[in-house]
Amino acid sequence: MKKIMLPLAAVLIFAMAVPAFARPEGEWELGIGWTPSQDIVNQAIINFHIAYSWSILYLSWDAYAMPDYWVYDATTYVDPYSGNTVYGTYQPGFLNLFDVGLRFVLKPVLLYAEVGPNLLYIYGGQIYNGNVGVNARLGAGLKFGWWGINLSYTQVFSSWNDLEGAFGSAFHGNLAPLGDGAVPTLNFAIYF
Amino acid sequence: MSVKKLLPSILLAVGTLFLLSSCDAILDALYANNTINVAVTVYNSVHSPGYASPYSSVSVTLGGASGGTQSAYLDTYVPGSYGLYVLPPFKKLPNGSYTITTTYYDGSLGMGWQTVSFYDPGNNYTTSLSLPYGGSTTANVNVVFF
Repeated sequence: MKKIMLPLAAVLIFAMAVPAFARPEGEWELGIGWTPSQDIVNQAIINFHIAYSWSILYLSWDAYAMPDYWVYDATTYVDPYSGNTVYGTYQPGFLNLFDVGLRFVLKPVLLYAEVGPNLLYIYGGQIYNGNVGVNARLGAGLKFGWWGINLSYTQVFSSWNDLEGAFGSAFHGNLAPLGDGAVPTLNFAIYF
Repeated sequence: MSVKKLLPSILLAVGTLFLLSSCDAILDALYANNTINVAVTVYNSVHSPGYASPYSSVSVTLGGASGGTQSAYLDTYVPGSYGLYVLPPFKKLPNGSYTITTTYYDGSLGMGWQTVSFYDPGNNYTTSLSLPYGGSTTANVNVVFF
C-alpha cells in the first residue's frame, strides 16, 4: 500500500502546484479503443474507456474485451505446491485497467503516463481471484475541443515489483523491460 | 444546476451502467464463435437408405439462445452415405442452451416427420445442447429418423 500511496501523494501535490498544462476544473472523458491482433488468431481487441482528469492528475478505467484463448492463457497456471497445471477458463472476458497518472495538454497535443492494477472479469459474472498483474501506460495524441484521438502503449507486469524493476532498468538506460511487448492501442475519446 | 451541466454526468452514469449491466452481452457480440454442425440420417423405417427422391428435403430450426432456421435439400446429399444429409452449420452462436427441431419431408411419399431430440457431441440422446460444450466451441450434432 505504501508503494501506491507515496507516488499518489506526490502526484496530487504536483497536480495542485502545476496547473499550467491542464484545465483548472475537472474533465470527464469517454472513449473507445482498437488494439491490433496480438496473436496468430487475427482478431482485434476493442476497449472501453472512462477517465477523469483534474489539473494534471489523471484517473482512468479501461476495459479490454479479451478473447477466450487469452483468458485461458491468463488463468492457466502451475500450482506451486503440487506442481500440477491448473487449467483456466476458456471464456472471453474484460481485462480492466484501473490507472492513475499524469496528463498534460499542450493544445492540441496530449501526453499522459499512468500505472495501476488489473482486474479480470470472465464471461458469466465471474471476477478472477488470481493474479493478472499491473500495468504501465504511455500515451500521446491530439485533442480538439470536445473530441480527441491518441495512441497508447500498455505494458502488463505480473507484479508491482516487476513494474518497479522495469522502471529501474529504464532509468539506467535499458528500455527493453518497459517497451518490449508493449501493446499499442488507438483511442478515440470525447470530453465534457 | 442547469440541465446542460447535468447532462454529461447523466450520460456518464448511463454509459457506466450500460457497461456494467451488459458485460456478457458485449462479449457475446464481439466473440460469439460457437458453431453447431447438424448431420441428419434417415433410416429404413422412414425410407430405404439411399433412396434419393429429388423432392425430399431436410430442414432444421435452431431455438434458444439464438433463433434461426436453415435448410438443406437433396443437393447436399452425401454420395456413398445413404440417407445422410449434412446441413450448412449454424455459426456465430452466443453461449447458451439450444434446441434443435429437424423435419424430414419425403417427396415421393408426400409426407413428413419431425423430431426434437438428437445425439449431442457426447453421443447422449437429448433435447437440448449447451454451448460451449465441454470447452469446445464447435458441436457436431446427429439427428436420426428411424
